[in-house]
Formats: sequence, structure tokens, C-alpha cells
Amino acid sequence: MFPFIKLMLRTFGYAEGQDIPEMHLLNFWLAPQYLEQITMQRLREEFQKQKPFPHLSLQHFFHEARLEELKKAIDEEKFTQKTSDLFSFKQTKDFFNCKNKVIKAFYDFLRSKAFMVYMEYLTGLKFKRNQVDLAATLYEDTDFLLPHDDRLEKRKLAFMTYLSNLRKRDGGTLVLYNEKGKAVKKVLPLANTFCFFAVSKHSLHEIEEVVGKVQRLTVGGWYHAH
Amino acid sequence: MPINSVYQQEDTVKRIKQELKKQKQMPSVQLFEFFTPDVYHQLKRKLTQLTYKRSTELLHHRYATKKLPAKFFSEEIIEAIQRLVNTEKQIKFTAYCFSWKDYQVLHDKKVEKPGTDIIFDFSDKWQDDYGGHIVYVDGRGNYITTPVQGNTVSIVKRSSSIQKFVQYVNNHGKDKKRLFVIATFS
Repeated sequence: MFPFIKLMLRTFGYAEGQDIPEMHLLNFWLAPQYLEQITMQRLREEFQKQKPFPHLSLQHFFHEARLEELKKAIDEEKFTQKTSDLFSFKQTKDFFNCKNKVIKAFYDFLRSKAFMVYMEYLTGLKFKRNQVDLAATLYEDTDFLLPHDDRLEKRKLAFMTYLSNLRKRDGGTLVLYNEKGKAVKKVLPLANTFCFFAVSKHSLHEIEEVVGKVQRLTVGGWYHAH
Repeated sequence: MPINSVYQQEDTVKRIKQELKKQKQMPSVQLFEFFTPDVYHQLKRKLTQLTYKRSTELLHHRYATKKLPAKFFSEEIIEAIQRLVNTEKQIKFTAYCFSWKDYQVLHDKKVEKPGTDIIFDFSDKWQDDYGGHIVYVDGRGNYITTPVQGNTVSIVKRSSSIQKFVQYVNNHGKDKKRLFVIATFS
């Protein structure tokens, strides 16, 4: 039996051959190819092998229609300017208390046991149940996030979903550095790409400055260790 | 006279010292038009002709720097500075050149010991929206920003809780150079 299905049966206490209702939630949000056995096994292997540290960037990850709805809802949220020595961007409050139904549904999906088990399968990591940090972040001209490793408050996995498309010349790429401080990989923001990486002392990364009249909108956050 | 005569007067020196003593949180003073115009332009020309060394420590800074030779500033200038900050200690000067994408952030492992910073600013026609400001923070939400203006000297007294960072220089200043010299005592 496909190990992920075995894991789901065990997690939710179902017997072999029984229907797993929680799979419907995954089917509702995720593009079908990302629930295929072969794809999931390949991604699980790829995540560990990625340089400079374990990460994946999955294009067309969610059902397009769901994400469009989500983007519309996020566009209505209030963004506040955040500035420090390390960053400059606009951000919403954490969606923990968000009243918008579409955003709340997305938040609930990300902290659902079904999706956490899915992410644990892909990453080989274990997350604290029912807990996720989630907010939307907007970068406009001159906004940036300088190199850092994200280690804080038991963060285990950082993730983000891109809600806008940028070209190379617009900046805003996610740059991953190796231990010697060399930029090894650049992830260009493309709408409906789900990107995540394991947080560790090696996860050195930055968001390059956005240049010009473009918007880099993401919704992202962290899963935590027990 | 290499220095503006105002800053040579006993009374001015006394007032600067009093001002630094009076301020309790983050003592600082700004001395505008510090050098005489000729000397300022001569020093700036020398600074722009130097070969700077790029330095990158991703978690702390990205900039170009150059340790200045002992004779970069004349005896007269050095004596005037020593008089302003009440010291006879030897002064070392380091020039910094920030351009697009450069920065210096706060870092737990790069904590500066208490002391006095003297910053000689050589950045002309620098706009506020380029970034690149030197910001002093006390960790309790208080901060001061030194002016980015050519021929200005800022004196900042740092206690153990005060640290500084240099704002990221953004694409609005991409063809510009932010030049300043920091004096340290030993």
C-alpha cells in the first residue's frame, strides 16, 4: 500500500480499505497531480536532496479557482508597513483571528491534520498539531528582506504561496545561500507556486529588493516543532 | 584653517561638550559645515580616489571599506577632534562606501563596546528615500538617525545598550555612493 495512505489510515485510526474522508479536504484544495503516488514519492526524495538546504518549489500547487478567491479576499485585508534594519514590507495581522471566510478556510486547511500529515510525508519532518503562523506580505518598490535563517520560536518549516507573477528584472526573488554565503538558487515568484524549506542553521535566505511598479504578494508562515 | 572657525572657538567646544553631557538617552550632536569648503572638497576628492575593499558577511553587512592612513587627516584636524571629545587617545579612521544593495544590520555576535562614534559625512545630494542612514537604537524602541549630508560631523556617545545599523541602500540610489568616515579611539 502507498506509504502516504498507510500514514493517513494510521493517523486517523481507520482500518485498511476504509474510506479516508480527510482525503476530500486535500482534493478540495490541491491540484490533482500533487496527490498522485508517483509525484509524492518523487517530491519526498527531491526535498531531501535539494541544495543548499532541503526545499521545494511546486508550481500550480492549489486549484487555480481556490487561489484566485483567496487572492481577492487578501486584497481586501489591511496591510501595515513593517520596517527594521532587516526588512521593509507591508504585512497583514496573523490570520488566526481573521473574519474573512475564504481566508479562514485556507488557514484551517493549512493547520488541518490532513495537510500537516501530507507535508510531514513530503518533508520527513514532524509538526506541532493544530498550530500554524499565517499572514500575507506585500513587497512593493524598494521593499526587501535581508539574509537571515528564520530560526525563531521552534520554527520547523517555512512556507509561502505566491499570489502574483514577477519577472526577473522586477526583483523579489527568493535567494537561497549555501554555508559559504554563495547564492545557490533563486526562486522567481510565480502565482500559485507553493514554496517551502526546512528551518535550520543552514537555511540562509533573502528576498531581493522589489524594483519598479510591481507588487509581490505572498501568503505564508511557519509550522513548528513540538 | 582646515576647520570652520566656529568649531575652533573655546565657547563652541564648551557648548558641544555640555550638550553631549546634558542628553541622557542617546547623547549626540551634529556639526554642520565642519570643514572649510576647500578642505572638504579636497578630502572628498581623496576619498573618492581610494580603492575600497568589498566586504560581505551576509548576516551582518555588505559594503566597501578602506582603513585610512594615519596622515589622511592633518594634525590640526586630529587635534580639533581630540579636543571636541576630550581625549588624547590615538584615532583610527575607516572610510565606508555604501552603494545599491549594501547594508549593515544588528547582530548578536557583533555587539559594539560602549564608546564614542565620530562620523564624517561626505555624501552630497543624497536623498532620504535612498536609505543608507546610520541609525542608533537602544533596544527599547528609541532611536536617532544621523543626517546624511556632506561636510557634517556627527558625534554619538554609545552606552552598552546602544547599537547602530546602516539602512539598506535601495534602487532609488543605485547610481550613487554613500561615503562616510568613522573615527575610533584606541
